Amino acid sequence: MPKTQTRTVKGKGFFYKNVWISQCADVPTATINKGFHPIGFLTKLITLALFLFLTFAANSLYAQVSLDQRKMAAVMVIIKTLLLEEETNISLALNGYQSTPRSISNLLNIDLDTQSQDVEFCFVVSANIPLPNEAITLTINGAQQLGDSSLVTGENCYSIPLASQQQDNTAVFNVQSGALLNISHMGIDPSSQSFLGLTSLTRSSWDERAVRKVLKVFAFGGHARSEQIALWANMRPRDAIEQMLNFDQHNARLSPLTVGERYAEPATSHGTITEFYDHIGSQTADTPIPLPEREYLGTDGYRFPSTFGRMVVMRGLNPFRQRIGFFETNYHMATNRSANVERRQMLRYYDDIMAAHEQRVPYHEVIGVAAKSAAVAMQYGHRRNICRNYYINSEGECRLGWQADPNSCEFEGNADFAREIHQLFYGIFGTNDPTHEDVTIENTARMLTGMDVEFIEDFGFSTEVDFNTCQHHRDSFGPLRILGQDISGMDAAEKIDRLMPISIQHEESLFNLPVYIISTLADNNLTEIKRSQLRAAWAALGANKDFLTFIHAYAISDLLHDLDHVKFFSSFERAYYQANKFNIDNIEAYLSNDGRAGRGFDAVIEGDNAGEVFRPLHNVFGGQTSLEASDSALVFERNYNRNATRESWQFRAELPSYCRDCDQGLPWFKEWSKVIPQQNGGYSAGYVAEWLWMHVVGNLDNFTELERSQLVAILGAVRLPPVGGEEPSWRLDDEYTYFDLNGLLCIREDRIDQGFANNSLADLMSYEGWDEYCRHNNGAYSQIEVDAFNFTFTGQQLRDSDEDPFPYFRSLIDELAAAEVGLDQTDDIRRRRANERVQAALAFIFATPFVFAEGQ
Amino acid sequence: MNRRQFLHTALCSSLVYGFGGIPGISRDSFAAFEPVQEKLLVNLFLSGGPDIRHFIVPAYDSNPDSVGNKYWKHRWRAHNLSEDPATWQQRWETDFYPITVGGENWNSGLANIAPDNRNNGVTFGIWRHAGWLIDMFRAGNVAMVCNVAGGRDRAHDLSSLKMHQGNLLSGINDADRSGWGGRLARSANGNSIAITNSPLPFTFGPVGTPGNYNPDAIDNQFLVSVQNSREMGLNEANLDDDQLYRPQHRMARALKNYYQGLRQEEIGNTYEKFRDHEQKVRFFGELIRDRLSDLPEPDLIRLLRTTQDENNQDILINGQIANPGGDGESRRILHSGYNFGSQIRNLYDVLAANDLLNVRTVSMEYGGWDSHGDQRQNEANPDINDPNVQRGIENGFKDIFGGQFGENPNDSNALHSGFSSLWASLNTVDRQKIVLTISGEFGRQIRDNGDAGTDHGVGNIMFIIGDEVNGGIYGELFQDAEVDKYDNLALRTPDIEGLTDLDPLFARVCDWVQPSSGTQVFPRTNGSYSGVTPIQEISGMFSNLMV
Repeated sequence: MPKTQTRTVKGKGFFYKNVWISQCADVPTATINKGFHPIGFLTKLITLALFLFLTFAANSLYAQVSLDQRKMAAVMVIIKTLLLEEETNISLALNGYQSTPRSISNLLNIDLDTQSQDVEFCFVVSANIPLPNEAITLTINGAQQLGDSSLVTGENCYSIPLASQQQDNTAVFNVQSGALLNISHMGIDPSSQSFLGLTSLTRSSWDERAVRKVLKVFAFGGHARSEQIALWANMRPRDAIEQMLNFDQHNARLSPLTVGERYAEPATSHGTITEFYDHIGSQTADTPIPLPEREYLGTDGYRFPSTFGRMVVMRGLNPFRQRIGFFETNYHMATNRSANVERRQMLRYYDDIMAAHEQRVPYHEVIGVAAKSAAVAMQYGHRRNICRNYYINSEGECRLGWQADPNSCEFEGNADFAREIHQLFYGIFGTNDPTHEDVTIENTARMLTGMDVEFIEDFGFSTEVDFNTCQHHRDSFGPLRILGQDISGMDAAEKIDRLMPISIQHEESLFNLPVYIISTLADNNLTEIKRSQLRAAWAALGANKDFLTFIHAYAISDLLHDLDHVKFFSSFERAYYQANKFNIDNIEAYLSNDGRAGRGFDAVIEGDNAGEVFRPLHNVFGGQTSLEASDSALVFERNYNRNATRESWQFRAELPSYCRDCDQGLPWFKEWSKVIPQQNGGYSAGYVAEWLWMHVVGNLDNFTELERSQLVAILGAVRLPPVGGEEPSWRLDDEYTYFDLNGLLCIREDRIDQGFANNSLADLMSYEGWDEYCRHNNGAYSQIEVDAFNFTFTGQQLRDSDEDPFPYFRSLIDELAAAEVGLDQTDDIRRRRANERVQAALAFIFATPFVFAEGQ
Repeated sequence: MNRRQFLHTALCSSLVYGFGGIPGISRDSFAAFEPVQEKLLVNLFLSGGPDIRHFIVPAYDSNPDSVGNKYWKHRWRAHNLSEDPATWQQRWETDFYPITVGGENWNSGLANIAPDNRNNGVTFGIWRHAGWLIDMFRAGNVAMVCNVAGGRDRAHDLSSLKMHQGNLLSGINDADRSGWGGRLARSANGNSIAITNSPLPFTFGPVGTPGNYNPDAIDNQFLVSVQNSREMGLNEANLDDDQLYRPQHRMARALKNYYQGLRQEEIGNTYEKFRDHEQKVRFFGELIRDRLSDLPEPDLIRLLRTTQDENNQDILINGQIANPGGDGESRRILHSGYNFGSQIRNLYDVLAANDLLNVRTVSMEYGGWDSHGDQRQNEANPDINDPNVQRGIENGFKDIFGGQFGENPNDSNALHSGFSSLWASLNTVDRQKIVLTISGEFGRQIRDNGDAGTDHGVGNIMFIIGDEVNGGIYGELFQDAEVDKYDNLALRTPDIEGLTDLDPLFARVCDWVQPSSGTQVFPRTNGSYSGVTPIQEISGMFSNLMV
């Protein structure tokens, strides 16, 4: 859960980003801790005397704090230390960090090295007793942290402003006998931090919400378990983001295998897209995909685009790598299978770009890799750009054409990529350059000569460009002035390599490219101020810009995490994000609802008319945009209807939780207990509802009475068998036996109509309740029942109304929230039904407005 | 757990997108084609920079100094011809319907507005497979407006933004401005309807009230998306079924009731539009379904994208398969059936429900015009009506403007294409209330590029089409200045000079849809505008554009 609890430090102060900023004018200027080491009884006695002296002295200055309290606390510390002879001191330097856990049974003094700036002191605690608790206290610079500023389980952050810092600053953990405190991840950092000039979140504001937001925006939600998310939330943002977002082929933290994963190969293999397509299409690979279907998903199969989705949702790989690969090849430097780009060329394009990213080469070199690719040469057709005064004869020799001028280039070709290499790859429009059209673009077209893509019999077009010098614009023909610089080189590859560093530092590129990157990937509401900040951060990377560093700096900055941030999800982003949140293992990823396991994504993308992976809707301008998706009523409609499908069989197919034979002939069961931790030894509906909401939405801003009431009804209303018996076998076969709140109301109203005053959850869910009331008797519902089904209500009514049925609803919802979902039941059928209720609850969440975007 | 603020009813209703334009709407709609009540504009955006000069060409002329020679001399590769002028002449004579201004095939009454009457006696040709366009032009219902500039920067995204917004001064970072279709709908107190896959910026409305709105901000409360008119709507719980055995009904009910409650609460701006989608789709979906329930899709329109009727029987026109293949099998009409064909169907249905939707502007799109290479393909395949043959940009022009060539552009017995099928499915009274504007973001260069295509240019022809249009030629067909450009190799990227900004042209159309709206929608046409005013080839040239 997010660390939103506020800290109330006794004394003066103010709130800042959920943290109580203590101005601490009322705390002692010195405490017992500085230089205090348990080196001997004499030392301790001296220290005790010194402490008592200083305490009394401080009291004369800071009368607001009770002398007796402080004195007694200090005395207790010393006594404990003296008696127990524990090692109790730690010195923590600014920017220091100690991840090693420590157990404290009596006392820990921390010497906080603060230096001329506001700092925050953060750590993670757990204890053998519930926190907060008077048996475990924290005193900072002599002020015991009480009330809302008391220690809590999890991460705790305390701000120490410069104005309240002492010459020697200390934090003292005091643990009374019988209690045990574990403390880890201690660090003291500046309260204000920046990265590439962007204001970064600090540990106090970097929380689970922030982590989940980064994962939603940059990793299609990712596959990290909630424990890992909590770990990242407790780390320094810069440390966490390094782990979360990297270009490795496998990221075990971001994409761990599920407990007992049957298909673990992707954790170590198939990390490139070419390898993955080969793996999926292989007849010998150990996958649950039925053999006859594999060729369809391989490189030459008709379901080619579907395989990319499987790569995104496959546990063991790296969804961030795929997020960026998708961005580069389908948006920023999009190529299109409908524009003559062949499958292998597309895969090679993707892999070459991502290999360059993985090597962390400067971004202009990544773009250079794309510019020199066969895919781009096919897309724009400059593979046919030539100086036609020369030709290559059948022997492969370069010859001068009949009566042709040997010293000039008679250009033949098009200027398509000659324009777009500047505009689309870098954001250079030539706005203030009157020679852009006639000089830069025309010369760029000539630079792109001699880039043939060979046709290979029984293969198709090559995946590599043949950079020939024969029909290329030779340096001897005269300089190619591009972007105000003369570009020379033996062939097009050399010239491209020399142009790229110029392009990335062009003033228009510096102005437009960073904005394009972030607006496409992460933010649909960039203000001019934010744009300026992004441009400055981009410029700060220097001539050799590291793309990942830029993403890291942005991902932990207040630009992403402030209240104005809005990111709408394209159909692709939402489809993959949805699958990642529904799926829990790799059978689901492999099958992706083909074999009755896994949440599908193809239907989402196709149904939304969003185009296809590697066939971007706007050709080289990229796929469906986030804004297009958000403005499309069709996209909303299709998503809604998928989660409330018209036909029962469709509904079941959308939410598979069991498959008789889809694990290579063996059954597969969905077990949400593998990923949802127990709470208090069980799975109450209220807890599971909130866990699922966090799992999907990532924060609780919109988890109100309205959402909770619907979810606990779906999760907590479990129909009971007859007293002393079992449901008839034909009833046990019923799938998705959950109830909605109106359905429960219908049973209640019917029972009241029949004279029953008692309508607790147990009454409604008794066999005699759900089986006999609100039934479709004689092929129709009574008016009372119809009215109950159609009864609508607001959150305010749920909270406050005294009119019937709202008091009843409140009581019922409490019962529902406390009811066990049953994910840990031993009975297979009941456990399956419990998992179905979780699936249904997810379907409900994915039909709310809060899955279409990330924002406030 | 959080609490959301309860939304006062008045505030709530004002936030519901698309409802402000439907005062006093009745749910008692009836299943029929409701006569078009208000004049409306249908805008078709040709994305990619269409080379209209490929379809409207000068007559071949053997005189090497003539435009009719220079054009073909510098365009033969884009037409996939040879260097032999005989092939140019053959192409001209075979594939283009000749019209001489004031002479052959020129009907009296057509407008001819050009400096110094320079168009007089000029012979041009319209690609013959654009039969409906030819017929409509000759009937006086097509204004071919020459030398119009969309964007002058030759950049697709920026020029498209300018076209959609109707603002040639917009920059690449000005995406948060309204579209001219949205502004016109607002000025007319109606709704802007998007029938494309996703709404184009053309449809985005301004902030404020009619006559007093801010064009540089977006408010989409009067934008309605109808992307699949025949299946629009949200799944509902059906109480005719036993709910115990129908989990999908329980979910549909939970969601419906949830959204009903959610509408009464204040949620973050980010999520408002999705809540409003729910209400619009549910509300309009129900209305349109009712309206269309007994209104069959006209066969001519259905044929655009499929060959069979709802009973899986071949669609017959006058007892005949409309577009038979070589072996007699039925074929759909359009190359781009599922995109443009669906839009035509949506347009028909939107017109049928125009009263419910309070339609004043409709947005359509047809892409694929960025023809740097292979502008014309498979010319050797004689079966021009085979929808599966890739013919470069000629597929698109035929899809939009095709139709059986004849004297009557509304002949319901003819073989139709996109707009012709619609036109033949409407009655005269309804057609008189519709105007079509058809344009791309920029034109292309006048010389082909050696890759059998053309690169980006500026000026272009735009079309204004409708029964109430004073058809003819507006602007000089082939500028005198162009003749010299062709052979001037010092000019590396010669194009059609943009002599007219889009503002005065479209402002005049706006005035027809809603009187006095032109200066609101295009502020630069307002006499009090203090900035750079739009240019026109001839002052006042559009005064009589509309009847």
